[in-house]
Order: sequence, then C-alpha cells, then structure tokens
Amino acid sequence: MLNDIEKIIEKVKKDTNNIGDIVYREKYIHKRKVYILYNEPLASSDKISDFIFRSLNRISDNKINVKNILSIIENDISNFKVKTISNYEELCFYLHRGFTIILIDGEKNGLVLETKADLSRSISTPNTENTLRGSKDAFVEDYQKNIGLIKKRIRSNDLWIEQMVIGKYTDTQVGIVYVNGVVKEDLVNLVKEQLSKIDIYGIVSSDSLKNLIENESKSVFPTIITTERPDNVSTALMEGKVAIVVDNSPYVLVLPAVLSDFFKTSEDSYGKWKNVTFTRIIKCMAFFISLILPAFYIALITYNQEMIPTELLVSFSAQREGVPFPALVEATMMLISFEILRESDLRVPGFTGSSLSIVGALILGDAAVSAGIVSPIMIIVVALTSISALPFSEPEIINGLRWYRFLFMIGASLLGIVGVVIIFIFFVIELTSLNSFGKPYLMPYAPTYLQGLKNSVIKFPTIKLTKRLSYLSNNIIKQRNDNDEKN
Amino acid sequence: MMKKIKLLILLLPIFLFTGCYNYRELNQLAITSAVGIDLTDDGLYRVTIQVLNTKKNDKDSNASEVPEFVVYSSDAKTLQEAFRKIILDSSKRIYANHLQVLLIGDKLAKSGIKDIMDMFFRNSESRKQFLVLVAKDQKAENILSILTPQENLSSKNIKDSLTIDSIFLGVGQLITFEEMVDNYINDNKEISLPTVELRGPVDYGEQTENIEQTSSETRLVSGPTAIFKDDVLIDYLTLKESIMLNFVNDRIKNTVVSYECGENKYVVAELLNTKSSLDIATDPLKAKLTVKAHSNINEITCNLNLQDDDVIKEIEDNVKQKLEDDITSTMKKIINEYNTDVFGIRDTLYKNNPKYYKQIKDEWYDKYFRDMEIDVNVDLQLLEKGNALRVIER
Repeated sequence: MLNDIEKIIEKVKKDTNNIGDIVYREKYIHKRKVYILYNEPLASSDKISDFIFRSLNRISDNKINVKNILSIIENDISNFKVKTISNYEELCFYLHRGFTIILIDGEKNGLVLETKADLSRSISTPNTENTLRGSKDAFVEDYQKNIGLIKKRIRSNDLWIEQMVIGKYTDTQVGIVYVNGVVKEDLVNLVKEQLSKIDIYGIVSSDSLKNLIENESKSVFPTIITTERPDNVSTALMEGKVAIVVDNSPYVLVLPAVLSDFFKTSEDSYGKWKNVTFTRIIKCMAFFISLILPAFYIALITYNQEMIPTELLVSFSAQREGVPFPALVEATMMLISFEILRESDLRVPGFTGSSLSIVGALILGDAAVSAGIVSPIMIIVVALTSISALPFSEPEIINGLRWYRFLFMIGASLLGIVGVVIIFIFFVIELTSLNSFGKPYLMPYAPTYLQGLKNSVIKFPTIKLTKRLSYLSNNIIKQRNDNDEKN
Repeated sequence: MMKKIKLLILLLPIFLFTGCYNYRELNQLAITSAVGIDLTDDGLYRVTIQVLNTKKNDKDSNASEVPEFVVYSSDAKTLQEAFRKIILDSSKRIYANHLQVLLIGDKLAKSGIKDIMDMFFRNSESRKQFLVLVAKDQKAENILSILTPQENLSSKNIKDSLTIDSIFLGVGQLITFEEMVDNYINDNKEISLPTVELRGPVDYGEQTENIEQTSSETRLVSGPTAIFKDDVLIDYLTLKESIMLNFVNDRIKNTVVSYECGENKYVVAELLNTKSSLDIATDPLKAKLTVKAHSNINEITCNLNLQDDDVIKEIEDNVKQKLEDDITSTMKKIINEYNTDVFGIRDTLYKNNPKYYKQIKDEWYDKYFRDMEIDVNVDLQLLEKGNALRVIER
C-alpha cells in the first residue's frame, strides 16, 4: 500500500542509504502532494522534464476532479508506457530500471513511467567472428536491442521469447528465444528447468550463465555456442536450437552445440558448397594438426626414429645437434612461450601490441634458434601447431585443444607413438561421453546420423539440405509449402 | 572423490614407471646408412659402418668442406663383437634402423656369407629391407669411404645409381636382404647380387678434392651381377650377361638391344614394358622362357626403308632373334660353366609340379640341371619407328 507517501519516501531513503542518485521531487497538484522519484543515472532527465513535468503542469493548470487525480494523470501524461504499481517492491523494481515513479498522497497506487536513459552503445560490427560476407551487425549490451536484432530476422508469430530474471542483486533479464513449432519442447523445458535452478547473487554476462547451465562442466570442450552474430543465432533458431539472451552481454548463448557445430561458420551458408567442403576439410586437418603434431614429433624423434624417412632424419638429426634439452622440454618451452604471447596480446592495449609481437617473434624465432636453445624444426612444429588452432572462433575450443595437446605430448614423451595412441583413446572416450543438453557430442559421426552427415565435413548443396536434423526438431521439413500442407 | 584420487595415484605409475623404455634422443644416435663387411688377412671380420655426420656446420663455412659422413671400422672374430667394438670409436650409439646398404667384400663373398645372413636376420633392431651388394674385386671398407660427387652419402649414391640402373638399363637388380635370405633358406633359387666397382685410387677418393672436380678421379660404378652357389660367390658376369640374366628373372623394365645390320652398322631398339615368364615342362626337362616387350626403334645406321612393312617385320625379327640368342647363350653359359640355378628354375618347378620336384631334388645339379633344354621365345611389338622415315644420309 502506498497511501502514506512520506513513510514510503522515508523507507526508500533508508534502504538506499540516502544516496544522491535518487531524485525526490515534491510537487503540489491541486493541493494534493505528489512525489516524483527517479534514479538519476538510469533515467533520462530530458524525457522527465520535457514530458512528465510539462504534462503535470498542464494537469495542475486545468480544472479537474481531484478525486480521480490518478486516472487523470495516467490518461493525460505524455508517455506511452504507463503502469500502476501497488506495493513497495514494485516501486523499487522500477526505480532501479530507470523508470520515473509518481506517488500521490492518499492514493493506494502509484504510477511508473518509462524514462530510461540510453546507456548502451550503438550496434556495431562483430569483433571476434569476422566474415567476409554476411551481415555486419553484432549484438550489443542492451537486451532489447539484441532481441530486436533477432526479431528483425525472424518476423514471425512463432518466435517465442520467455523472460526470466536471475540474480539476487543484479536482477538480470534473461530471455529464452526459440521458434515455436520447430524446436523440441523438451529442450525448452530442460533449459527452463536449468535456468530456474540457478540460485546466485548475480550474473553479469552470458558467459557466467553459461558456466551455470552447462551440464558438462568437467570437460574442457564447450557444449554451448557463444556468438555475437545475430545471423548465426537466427539460423540456429530456425534449425530448432534455443538461444539465451542475457542483458548486459553482447554474446548470446546457443544450445545444444555438438563438436561439428564449432567447425561451421556463418560464411558456410553464403559460400558455394564445394568451396565450403574444402574449407571444412582444411579445418579438420588444422584441428588434428593442432592437437597431435607436437606429440607426434616428440614421439618420432625420441622413440620411433625408424618411422622418419632417412633423408628427413638426417636433417632432423643435424638440427637437433647441440640442443641441450630433451624434445619434450623443448616443445613445452616453446608452446608455453607462445601461450604467454597470445595471452598478453589479448590483454595489452592496442598501441603496445606491435612491439609485443616484434619481441615475441624475435624470442620465439631466430634468437632461440641461434642461441641453441631450440632446434629450427621445433619452431616450425610450434608455429604450425599454434596457427592451426586459430581457425576456430570459439576460444573454448582453442583452449580445449591446448589442454589435450599437452596431454598428448606427455604421452608421447613417455611411450612414443604408443603413448599418443593411448591418449587418443582417452580423447575419444571423453568426446563420446559428452553430451550437450542430451545430444551426443560427436553427432553426427557417432552415433552416425546420415542427415547430419550431409552438412558436416562435407556440405551438400544447399538445395539438397531440405530437412532439419531430427534430433533438434520434430518438424523436419524445411520448405514452406510442405509446412503449409501439414498445417 | 577420495576414491578417484586414490585410483589415479595407483594408475599414475603405469605411465611413470615405464622408465621410458627405448627412449633415445635423436642427437644421441649415430645413424648408420651403410655397413660393409670384409674378411681380413688374419681371418677376422672387419665391420665398417658409414655414419651420417650430423654435426652442425657453421653458417659461414662452406658446407662441402665438412664430409657428410664418417666411417668407423673394427675387427673381431665374430660380427656382433666387431659391431660392438665400433662404440670405442664413436661417441654416439650405433643406430641401424635406417640401414640402406649392406656391402659385402669380395674376399668374404668368396668364402661364404652364411654368417652375415644369420647375424642380420637374428638382429631385431634393423630392418630387413636394405639392399645387399658385393664390392667387386675390392674391400667393402674402401668403397664406403669414397666421397661421391652427386650425393653427399656414398651409400645413397650406390643405392640411387643401382635403382636408376635397374629401371632404365637393367644391369643391376634391387635385392633386399629379406629377399636374399628368403631365396637362400628356401633352397629353390641361388643368390645373385648386384655389385659396385671402384675406379681410381682409393686414397684420393677419401679426400674432398675428389668431389671438387668436374670429373672425379675416383668414382663408384654399378657393376655386373655376382652369382653365387650356395653362399659362396663363384664369379662375376659381364654387363651384357647381367642384363640377360635379369630378363630371365623378370627384373627388366626398360633396356636397349642392338643388332648388327651391316658392317659396323647397327639397329638399336629400346624395349619397354618388358615382362617375362618362366615355364617348365617335364619329361624331358625343358625351361620355356617367354619374354613380352614393346619396342621403339631409336637409332638406325643402315640404310633401311622404314616405309616398307617388310623391312619393319625384318627389324622386328632380327631384334627378336638377337635377344633370343643372347638370353639362350647366357643361360647355357651359367648352366655349363657355373652350374648354379640363379634363374629360380627349381622354384618354378616346385610351384608347378611339386611331386616331380621332390623326386629329382637330390640329383638336381648332378643330373637334371645340366641336361635341361632351353627354349627362349621373345614376343616383340614394334610401337614407334622414331620421327624420321628414312635414315639421315647424304
């Protein structure tokens, strides 16, 4: 009950420690005391003075029935988003979202008016997922804008959004987005269940939410896609996936995600199928090179020399001559210095980046070789390994690869090729045992799923990809006509 | 959770206590590319190994100043002891998995190579795919220490030149150790090995000056085939006989045949896609060799009219006849002079008619082999006569 406004105001002041952010403006309209409250940093002062104050002044100038003052204000005020509130909790909820609150002495209900300030940046180009073709807009930190970017692409009644609020302090708005009729309902229910289970003081971005809902938190491989491209999200939604939009986060979560999804980019749907297939084969090669190459090299030169062609062995041997460390130490040293370089390159401000890369190139390259610390061939191995991890835009994949790369190297240094094989068995065991929201992680390879194989390493012509994947959707026919007949 | 950790601690030793079995860093290995074995005058084995020199050359110095390989040798009563004694010389462990060439000295080959076969066959570390050659009239030790102009490693030079020769000329034959031992153990075919010859002074060939000239004074040349009976070298064939022997063994891919069509005038035919097959008829014992080949005429010094089909036919017949004669005479020579079955006739006989083979097996050399009839049949197809229809003549 908001009858006693003085008391209410006192309570707000007390609960917020009377910070200066909240503006309490007293005003009399036909001798009724009116309080106008708003949170200064979150609300736009222009909107408040231009529309709300002017409207209130006009109302107080006119002759009105004082008894109906609340409904008169609600009618006459120049703001399209008006809502009545009836208790203190609601008042606080809106106050911290940039709304302006009008409380009138003696009235049971108060009014809230939308006067949010625009605190988010404007839509800009993607930073981490660059493509040559395709749309150039990316998600921003504003929930409404992000939803808008998706709705702009899927203009249908069937784009359903379920909203939730998560976090005791942050009160973060979270939206579960899916296309009704395409998505499998149990997936949506599973996501809702996972989200409602979350009991946390607050989340600030989609990534912290990701860690809370991921069911395979022990694995190093990601089971949820994070993307900043609305076109990626829209495509995924139409395939039957679910997106989670989190306020204040320019990354949208898309799930479920299996390993082969991380080999796909939005460019794949724009390119010719043969070219896309070639690119994907190269990516697969890069995946395995990045995973196994250093381990394979260590195994070959410390245990299985007979596998190296003689001419190559001679040059390997000549280059290894005089290197004081075992091959494992040599490789680890170089890979770790590369990881340090990569990490610091991400963190330093742009203008010192170039000097960093010069130093890095010198240390990792020529100087280390001429100082006799590493062999030139190791530089090639490390360089090839490192650049092979980079075609993947998802950093979790790169980091997962890195984790296993070191395991493979340890295996190789203990048992040679046999060690590599043993670790590879563990690697496959881990991948096959993973699931992303109930979907096997190695889909469509294991279990083999023909429809999925048509768009895996090999991409069939788009005109032939007429069906959705049945593990994602019950409504597997993509064409509009078939759909209409069905309805 | 504790259980898992305990399990992990129990599992960890499986990896850690392997003791890194068979761990060896690449730069601690002396990569052996060739082994030469000789018999010294005292009756000891002398083992010579050619090891790749992987010492890093300084960037500024000219790479050719440092020899690309080092030769170590040692003497002992047995081969294995001799091999081990090399470690006294070398600072690195001998690593024979990349062995390319096994070279057998002339003297040792003439006294028998059984021991060598046993030692390498028993040894688990080396591959059995290396080539075996005989150092013709020379010590293997000398040949392995020669610097060769085109290849840094003389063993690679030997291997490559033998390979090329076996493809385009057909004097040599690529015989791996495995094949040799297989032939020897199965007793169906006598050993015949390719050879390598040394031309020029040995001492000079060991110095870098040898390869700094356009025409090296000391050089290695692929030689004719050495034929064995049992495990003992009997004699070396001539180059031409070597080619003919390879025709019988179906080892010829390409070669060149010529016949005299006038006084000091020749027709030269190149044979391609050669295939030969040996067939044995019993009662009386008769070896039938069929050689099928395509042929190009590459050189003609007689004045022949190539537009005339009869002339072409005549050339074809003559080449055929010449080849048949040569093969027959070579086979006859080997049978009569050396009495050794390097053709694998017993092998063919055993495969075709094992019962009969068992009957005659014991008296093979005494009775049957010598009296065997030989029938060589060449099936030649002339494909090209070259670009000119007439012989260039004024």
